[in-house]
Amino acid sequence: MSALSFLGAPWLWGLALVSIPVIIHLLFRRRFRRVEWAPMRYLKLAIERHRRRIRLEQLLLLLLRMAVIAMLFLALARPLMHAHGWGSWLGGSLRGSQLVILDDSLSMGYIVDGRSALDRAKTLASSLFESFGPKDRLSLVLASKPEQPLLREVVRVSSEEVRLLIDGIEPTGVFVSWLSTLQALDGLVSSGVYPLREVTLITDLRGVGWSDELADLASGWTGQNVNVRIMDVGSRDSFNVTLEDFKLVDRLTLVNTPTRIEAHVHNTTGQEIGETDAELIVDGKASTVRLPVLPPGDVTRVPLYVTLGEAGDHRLSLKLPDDAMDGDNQRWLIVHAKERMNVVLVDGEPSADPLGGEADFLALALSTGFGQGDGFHIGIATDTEWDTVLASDADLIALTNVT
Amino acid sequence: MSKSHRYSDPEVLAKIASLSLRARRVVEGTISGLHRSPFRGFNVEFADYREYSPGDDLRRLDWRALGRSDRYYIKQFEEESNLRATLMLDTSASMRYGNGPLNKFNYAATLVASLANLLIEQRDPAGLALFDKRHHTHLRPAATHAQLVRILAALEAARPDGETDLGEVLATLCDQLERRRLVVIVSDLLTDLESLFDGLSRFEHRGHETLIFQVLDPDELELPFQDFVQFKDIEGTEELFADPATFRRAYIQAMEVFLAEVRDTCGRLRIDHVLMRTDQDLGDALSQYLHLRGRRDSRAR
Repeated sequence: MSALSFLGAPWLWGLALVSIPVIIHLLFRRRFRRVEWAPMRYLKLAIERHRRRIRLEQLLLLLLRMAVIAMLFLALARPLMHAHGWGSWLGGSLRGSQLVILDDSLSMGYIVDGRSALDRAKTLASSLFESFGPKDRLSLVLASKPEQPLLREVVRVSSEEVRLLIDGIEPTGVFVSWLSTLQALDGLVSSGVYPLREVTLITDLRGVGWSDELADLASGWTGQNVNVRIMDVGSRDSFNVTLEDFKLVDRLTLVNTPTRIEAHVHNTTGQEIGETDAELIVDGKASTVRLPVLPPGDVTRVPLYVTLGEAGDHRLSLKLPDDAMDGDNQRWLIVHAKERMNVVLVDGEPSADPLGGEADFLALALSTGFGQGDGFHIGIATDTEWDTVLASDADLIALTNVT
Repeated sequence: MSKSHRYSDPEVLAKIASLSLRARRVVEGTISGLHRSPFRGFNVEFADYREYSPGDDLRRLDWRALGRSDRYYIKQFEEESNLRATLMLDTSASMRYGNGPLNKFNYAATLVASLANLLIEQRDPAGLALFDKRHHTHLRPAATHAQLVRILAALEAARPDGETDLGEVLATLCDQLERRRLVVIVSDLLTDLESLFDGLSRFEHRGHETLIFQVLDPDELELPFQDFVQFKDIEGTEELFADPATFRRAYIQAMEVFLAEVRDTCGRLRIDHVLMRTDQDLGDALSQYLHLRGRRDSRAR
């Protein structure tokens, strides 16, 4: 176990470029101009007096240039220093409690260059576990299930076991509340038996789920000498279209009557997206709907109309075209359709004559119906029948002349 | 401008000529011009009378003539009216260096031609000495137009070559100059300084007035090269490979020490030392110096 390991080890090949300043120096020495010079005496004087200083300066400058390149590539290689590793260098053998929290939220499904953020997080987590010491106590927790750690304070777990465990992790469709997650893990962190405790959070650092209260929790951990590291596996750019909402607008859905539904489509890319087709699925039958032009950064409300032929529950779904993150492209909706709307008109002053009471006129107006259905099923009751009315499955109760 | 007179830069001469005219109004006629006569107070010979005009020194008023004729006359002296000058131009290889439109030699030769033109126009005898390790061309002073043509022809024919030993040249020349005169040295002074200062001391002891125009290229003062440079001694065979950026500051300091040493020694020997950069306008630099010299001489009188 070494004191230093690298998460982006391939970048270390870039260290070969430290030779560039030397090569440039040698090339420049080959490129020179010839000058016939008159004040040679003062030239020699200047060089001889400062020869040692000049050489030292040149050497330091060369080393500085080489160091800048080396530092750049070392930084890109993301070195990982382990306190126990340094401790072993110093002759001791420190044990530590290592907790790795892996973000498996919806946004981790975001794909860049063929790999999702979760894939990168899994690779990183595997490397991390390989770098831990043999006497460390290891814990692995998914952010969506902090109460059910995949590993809890285990010792001597093989790399193969860890790799299989990590490979089996799939992205979830949930948003993570980091406050809840870390609060749930507070007990696990505080109960660490070794003085050296490290928490490593592997996430794409999406803004959702981070709250100010986390600062208090982090301060508490700092007070307990817990080292917290956050490893960012996210992407700076976003090429994603999100279906943020898919909801019923009309309060009541009747069979054979168009029902209004609304979809909220968020274009998080920095560019306008032209008209595209989405898939509207009603009870398993897909049809194509045309989405309007989506301005960059805006949420566009898309109105949709669905006509259901039978009464009962119907499963509706809208699916946007595939993009970098498929997890937020589809939403579902259960719609209950009725044959007609049950309306009970309660008349406080009923009349025996046709159209003698106010409720009679209302019943007449509602009897016209709409769409292809009858529309309303109307019943008239008196205020003395109130209990019966309340017990009925009326969708609408209208009170007329009731005191 | 004809080829044979390419050093008579009209712009330069125009600026000096205007200064010259101003100086004549102060001193009068063709006497001395801008320059204070180096022979003033020594063996002056009476030459002529001329009528008094406002501004003349009353000490030179001839009171006897006033008594006899009731008219005001000023006495003129032979030596005072003629300034004998020898213009010395460095023709060593180091004067060949130049990065701008004029190399040091062309700049210096233009300066010498301008001074010769000015002096002869003022009827002051001007001579020329061209030198490198020794002085190889020597024209005795004369104030004729033919002399000006000879000086210009000699400048045209001169080619910068060979090593410099200005001190040795001054020592030799000093022995050959019988009468006191103004000696104008135009050189980069990139020579052995000890020997140079010895030579200048000899000139000072002999009563010559010496004036040095030190001509240097801006490159020689600032060492502005950015690339690596193979420096080759322009007067020798030595070569030096270096990155000028690494010792530019030290070089500039060394040149400043060199210039300060020359300036201090010249000050001690009462020699005017004028540093001229080849990127400077020659006319401006020369007229500025002559103007300062004229004011200083006026104060001295």
